Amino acid sequence: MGTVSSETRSPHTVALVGLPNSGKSTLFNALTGLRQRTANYPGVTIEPLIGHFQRDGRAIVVVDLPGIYSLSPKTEDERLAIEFLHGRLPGGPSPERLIVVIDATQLERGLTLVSWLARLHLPTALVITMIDELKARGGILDTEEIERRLGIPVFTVVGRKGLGVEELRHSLLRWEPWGIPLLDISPDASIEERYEWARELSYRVLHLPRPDIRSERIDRVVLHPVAGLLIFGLVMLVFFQTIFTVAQPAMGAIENAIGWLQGLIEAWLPEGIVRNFISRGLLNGVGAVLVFLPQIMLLYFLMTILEDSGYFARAAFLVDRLLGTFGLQGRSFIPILGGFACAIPALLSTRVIPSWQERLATMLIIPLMTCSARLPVYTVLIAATIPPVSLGGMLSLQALVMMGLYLLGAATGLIVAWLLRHTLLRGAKAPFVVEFPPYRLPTWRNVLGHTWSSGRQFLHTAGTVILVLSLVLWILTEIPPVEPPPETPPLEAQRLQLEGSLAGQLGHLLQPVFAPLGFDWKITIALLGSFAAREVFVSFMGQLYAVDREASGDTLREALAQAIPLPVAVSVLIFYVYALQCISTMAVLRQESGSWRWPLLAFGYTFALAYGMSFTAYHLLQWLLY
Amino acid sequence: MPSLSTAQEIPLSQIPLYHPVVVSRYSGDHSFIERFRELGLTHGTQLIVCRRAPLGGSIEVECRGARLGLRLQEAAMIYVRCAHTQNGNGKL
Repeated sequence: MGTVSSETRSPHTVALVGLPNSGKSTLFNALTGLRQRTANYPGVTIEPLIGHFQRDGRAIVVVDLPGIYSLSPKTEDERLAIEFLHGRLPGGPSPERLIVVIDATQLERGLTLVSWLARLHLPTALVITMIDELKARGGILDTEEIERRLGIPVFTVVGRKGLGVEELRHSLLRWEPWGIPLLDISPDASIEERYEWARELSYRVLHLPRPDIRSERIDRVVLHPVAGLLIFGLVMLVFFQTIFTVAQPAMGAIENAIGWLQGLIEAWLPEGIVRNFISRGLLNGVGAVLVFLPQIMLLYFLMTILEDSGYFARAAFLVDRLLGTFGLQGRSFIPILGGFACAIPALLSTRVIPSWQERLATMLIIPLMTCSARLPVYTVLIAATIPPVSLGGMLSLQALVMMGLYLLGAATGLIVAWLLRHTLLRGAKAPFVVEFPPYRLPTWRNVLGHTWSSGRQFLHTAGTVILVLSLVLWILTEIPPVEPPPETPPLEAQRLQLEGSLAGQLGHLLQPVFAPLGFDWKITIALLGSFAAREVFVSFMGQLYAVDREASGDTLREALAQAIPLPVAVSVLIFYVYALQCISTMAVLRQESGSWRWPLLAFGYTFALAYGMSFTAYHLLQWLLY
Repeated sequence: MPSLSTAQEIPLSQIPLYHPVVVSRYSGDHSFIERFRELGLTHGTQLIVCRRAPLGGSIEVECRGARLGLRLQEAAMIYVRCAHTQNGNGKL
């Protein structure tokens, strides 16, 4: 054993490479202990994740790259991985070594990837995963023979159980010399020659396993023309039902907690700017961010279970026909589904869509899916203005309206996708191919880990923007301070402050623009406030009607019921179905599309839709009702 | 069901279920074809169409121990021949 110096040496960088779905991410988790998504769905790792581990002053940085098939990229995430492997990723370190992860049940294809990677001339180790699955199906793998033939170390791991990981970690920490793979084929060999080479090698080292009968049996039901569609419908029903029924109490609890804190602050602190800032600025802002956390985390919790189990690959195969008619594809399904919680993680997850045109079309319609930020707007306005009658004794009109709003957004989204794919975004660069992984039981570690990281991602990306804009909004309502005439009741003073503030002035200024939709100046201000994030509408209406609320002792709902007639409420609701009023979404769209053109287009078309549809709905209802 | 002779090249999209076939040539966009080959659908590879998507539009293909879902219009870029040397009636 060599002596280890006490000084910390500069860390070594190792890249984890493999085919999509080879078990890379599970290995990455096991190696570094970092929480990260590992999905049983091809191409789900959307950006290189960096983790590290260290011992005795030696640090190893591990980079988990998106899955690749060769060194010629077809998709954005493949391009990213390959640029990194060549050391050409701006700001990224160059990999010193490669860990190539191969699924033992997919040896031939994995070895073909090794033959491509050999061109990089980097010290390499093979890690064989799913060896337990191979053995269970009667397969035998001679890893020593692979070592001999390729001249590189081979490790076998069961990442889900952590078996074999320690040996790999040791080898890295001791920085044992690894070989550069030696292949008896030309570096310029064709794909066919590489597959031939891999086939010969795997013939020598692998006793073939029996076919995966269990997955085939499940698929016979899950992909059955009748049973398959029923199961899909059922899964979606349970999915959405869980998101809404389970998240509601948590959202209510967060709202109550914020309200309780506000009450505490207002009771303890003397009246003035500090109290006002903490209670109305800060706590409202924090509440606006936190309230969506339960739904977003729940959505990703369920989505990770569906992905890791292998069902999502089947679902993509199933719905491809449907989405295909609108110019999208099976893989657009997951991001669109994600859009029902929050557009930000959904936009990021579109990187799994290989063709740029299909990906962009998907990104541009995601804002039309009813995200959780619209839910409080819908809830408050529907509860306040739609009569609580039941239709046929079963369905309540309010629930029906709510469902209609969700459907309106989704249906319009599909039509817009079709239009985009037949005008601006024609064609495709890569075929639609779904790889069916075997069905596997999701592990709690992966599911909870990913749920947590998606929550963190939301807080980080959207939360910061929402909080800052909430504070800006609060400032806009506080300046300039309006000095009320002597002996004005506090209520009247607040109303004057609000009307005279910059926000009030802006609302009045833009009022003529929104007047044709039936909006009054308060709605216009709340609408502008929504650009921080849509749910600000509610906290803003709360602030704007705080005056009325304190006057009559009514809740916000009752205040709105009195102030907003039905046609106006419907007009506002439809405006919220369509309008892209979320600056964080636009920022992410800019980042993902590489130009401001697309977020501006998204903003423009959604605004036009919102304005046109609200205008129509308002005047139609006015004519019908009065 | 069309009868498959070894000489005939037929688009993969038109192959009946469970007929072993061999990839013989491609026709279509270069990057599409390269991806098919990278996935293991190389020239001379044996494959079987083992399922049609419940809503249609796609097929599931077994090749090199993996299962892939392909769209019919894209599977039409891959031309195959019957894998049997004698006649094309061999069912699995």
